[in-house]
Amino acid sequence: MSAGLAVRPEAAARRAWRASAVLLCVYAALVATHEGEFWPFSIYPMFSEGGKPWVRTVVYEVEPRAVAGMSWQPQPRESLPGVPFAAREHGIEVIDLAKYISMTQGWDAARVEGLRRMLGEAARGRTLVFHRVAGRLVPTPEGPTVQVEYRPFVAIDDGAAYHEGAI
Amino acid sequence: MTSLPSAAARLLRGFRVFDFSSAELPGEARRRRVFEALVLIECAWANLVWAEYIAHVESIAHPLGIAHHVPLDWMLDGRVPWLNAALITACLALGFARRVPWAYAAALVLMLFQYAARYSIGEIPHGANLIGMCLLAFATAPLLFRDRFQAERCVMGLVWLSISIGYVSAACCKMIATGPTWIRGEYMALSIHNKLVDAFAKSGVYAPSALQDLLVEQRWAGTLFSAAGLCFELGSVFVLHARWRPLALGALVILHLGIGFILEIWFRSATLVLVLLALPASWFAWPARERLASGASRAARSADLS
Repeated sequence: MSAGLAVRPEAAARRAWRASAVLLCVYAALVATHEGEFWPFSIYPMFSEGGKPWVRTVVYEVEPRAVAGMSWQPQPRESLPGVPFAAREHGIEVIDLAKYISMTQGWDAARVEGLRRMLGEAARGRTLVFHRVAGRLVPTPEGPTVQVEYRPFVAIDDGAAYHEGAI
Repeated sequence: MTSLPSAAARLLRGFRVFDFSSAELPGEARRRRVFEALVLIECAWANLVWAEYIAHVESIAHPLGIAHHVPLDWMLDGRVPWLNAALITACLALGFARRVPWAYAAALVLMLFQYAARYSIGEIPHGANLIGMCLLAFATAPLLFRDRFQAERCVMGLVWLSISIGYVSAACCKMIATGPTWIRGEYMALSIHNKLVDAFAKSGVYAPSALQDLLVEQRWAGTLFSAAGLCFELGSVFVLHARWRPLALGALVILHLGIGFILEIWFRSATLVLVLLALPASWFAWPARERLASGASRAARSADLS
């Protein structure tokens, strides 16, 4: 465009600041009314709560008959039965999976079906155990120490689902 | 010797967000264009990745952003996200070619839907926020200024504001939610364990790096790294300062590399944008003949207007 369309630098700066003020008001209004998130605006609250306990999900593939005699008690990672299931290789987002598992209050047929759909083809022909992994700081005489607990939460195979027993 | 008040006054004068009067540095115009291209490529790529993932989304379980106001179930139809991604890419191309002044604004609006459809199932990532803010700047400036030079300078001012506000806001959130004790090494250790479990769930391999081991076992090291990160975030206010801008941007690049190596969260788009903006403009001045011509013409133009 030609230079003839340009305004004087001072006027340009005033115009830019006025527009910025409007955008900042929109930014503030949207994040204030949408729990801090309205893309591309955000208050960037990630990691703001130091020491906040967290919950995740880790999946293990086990032998088909292993679920029947499996312990549903918390256990160390090193003694979990089966082999770790690499979610990324199957295109599964682990954060979404963890949210789905942790937000599920009761494991009815619909919730199990939702889980199967999330896993897609990856679940077919496999017996998968979903461990709820909880991390938190626990007080000790030496100061707060990190505790990470693995607890089997739900298991599925081609025909059934188990949550501390058959569902 | 410079007195304290005059040094403070000079520091304050250096805060220049919108600069429509100074002469173009050699390579500055080309750096802006490369920056614009980078943001557009990152936006187009993000939309394709989101489109692919939306196929796995069963329902809008936890509405985010625009999904609070507009039902987005129609976005979950297999073809709609791909069609939307194609439209967004076309708008971005039209904006880059300077064909349609409102093309970037249209792309931004379409991206609101794509983002909300992808992330309304629980996870709220921030990897695409900075490129979104840059796109907002690209969308706003041509609507304010018909002169291309002034529009491009306006874009940069809006980008400096976005970067500064974003990182200072992140630091403020930490101070409000936790306070100065946020830097405690124990908190860093808990976050590292969290990310190690995430990486384990993704890959099936539990393998902390030497740096992660150090930060988990030596709490003072975690405290040191957290304190440095917080200072870098607060220091982003100097992105608004003409002289200290490259240093503040460089500090943010280091912050992102630290987050990447320690917590295995790689903000690729944001890091690339920050690296590009932190580089000296002269690196983009080639060949030398153009370097001289660009500087001379912009200087003459600025002198005419002021």
